[in-house]
Amino acid sequence: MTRREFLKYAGEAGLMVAVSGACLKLPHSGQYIRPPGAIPEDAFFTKCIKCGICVEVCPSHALDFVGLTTDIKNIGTPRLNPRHGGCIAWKEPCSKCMDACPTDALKKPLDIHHVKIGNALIRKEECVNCLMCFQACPIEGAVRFPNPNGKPYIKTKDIPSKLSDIKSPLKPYIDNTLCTGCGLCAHICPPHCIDITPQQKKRAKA
Amino acid sequence: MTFERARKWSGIAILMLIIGAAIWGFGLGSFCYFHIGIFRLMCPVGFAELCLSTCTIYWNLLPPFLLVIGLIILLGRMFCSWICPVALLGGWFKSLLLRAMPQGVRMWWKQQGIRVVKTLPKLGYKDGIAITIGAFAGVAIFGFPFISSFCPIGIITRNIIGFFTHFQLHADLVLLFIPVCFGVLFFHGWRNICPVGAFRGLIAGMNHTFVPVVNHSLCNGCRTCERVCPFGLSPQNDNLDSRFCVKCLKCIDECPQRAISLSFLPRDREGHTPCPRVHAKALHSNQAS
Repeated sequence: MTRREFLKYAGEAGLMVAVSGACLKLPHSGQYIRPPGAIPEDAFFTKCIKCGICVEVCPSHALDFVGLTTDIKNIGTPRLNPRHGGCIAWKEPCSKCMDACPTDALKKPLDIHHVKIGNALIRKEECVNCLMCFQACPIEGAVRFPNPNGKPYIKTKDIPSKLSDIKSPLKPYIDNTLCTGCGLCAHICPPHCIDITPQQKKRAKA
Repeated sequence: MTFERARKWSGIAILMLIIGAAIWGFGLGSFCYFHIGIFRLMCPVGFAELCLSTCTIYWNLLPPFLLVIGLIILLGRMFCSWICPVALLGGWFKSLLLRAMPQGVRMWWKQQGIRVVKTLPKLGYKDGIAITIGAFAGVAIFGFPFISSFCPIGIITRNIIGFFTHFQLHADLVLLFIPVCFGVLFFHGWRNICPVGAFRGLIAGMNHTFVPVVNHSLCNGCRTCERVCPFGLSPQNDNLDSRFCVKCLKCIDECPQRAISLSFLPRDREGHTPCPRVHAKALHSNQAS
């Protein structure tokens, strides 16, 4: 091998190292709602090889890929998109994405009820009081309706129909200590007025 | 049935399998990780970068990885021409593009391609290895498996899965622009920079089975096999380096004399058999003198 060849090969190898370093240094927009059982965000991108099996197996088609962003290290990683569906892991024992993941980026937790992937927030000005979120929510008591005299209602059948009128100033709200962030309410909400924001931490069990 | 058609249909069958798995959620996996029951296959580059980025060995993924290594030793780089979706879709894209062009433009396009190839630096096998080693070093230093973000096979797989589960394509398809350009312009040398292919080539050097062998009593030295070979190998000179041979078997299909056949374990592969053309020339000169 001549010196010229050696410099060429070393330059090529160095270029690839520089590319991988540059991918991490680019500005990134932050967080995504990960599937349940995802390991913390700073370790997730080292383990996820973007094979797409979790997206493929999800029975409610709730997962999709992070598209092209400047956040290169997260391109192609899975995220939960309430536009496509909500995660049913808390509703019925579903752990398909965690079982399918070949690399332990999604790990099956001991108890799914301790997992919290996000917070939900109802934008009150757009809410029409249809109370569909009550039916969609897998956790009893996470969606609540304010009661002017007493404890908030947690079941639709208890709510007096004159309080839940479309023009009523009272709107349902979400208790984020109980909410898991599964996105089922946001998916079903007719005016799409529920936002899910990502958060990964242990959830206090009801 | 010729190998050309067999290759086409096997490619379509594998694409259909991935599409079916995406639509009905079989959980078979994709080109990165594939499993039916306990039969599992793992992309060797994916495994290597995962182990390097996390500095651990994934023992549960070791058997599928070793199975793939065994298959590469047995079948060579068969993946690159029979299974790789980039080769299949790239080939379709190229033939569509060339068919859509008017005659004059097509000639101009081909000439421009040849001209551009001449001006670009030639990249060989060693460059491919250097790029692969650099990429793995980057993965190990920064702890981020970035090959899988840009891997064209991965991009195509993710878009197939995304399209058949949500009926939407992702903007990361633009990252395919670079390999598509290389494929359309058909560079011999630039094919070596695919890290997946280079890594397979590194292991496929051990491959000695399923080799196209020339019957020199039938060969008339037309060099058709050399012309059709996507890697520019020449079977008629017994120059069939298993590091490059992708086992596309085009040489067997195209040989006008049907002189090439697939041999499971050729005996005198290392023994140098003289090229018939040289042989004929020598005969002629002998006769002349």
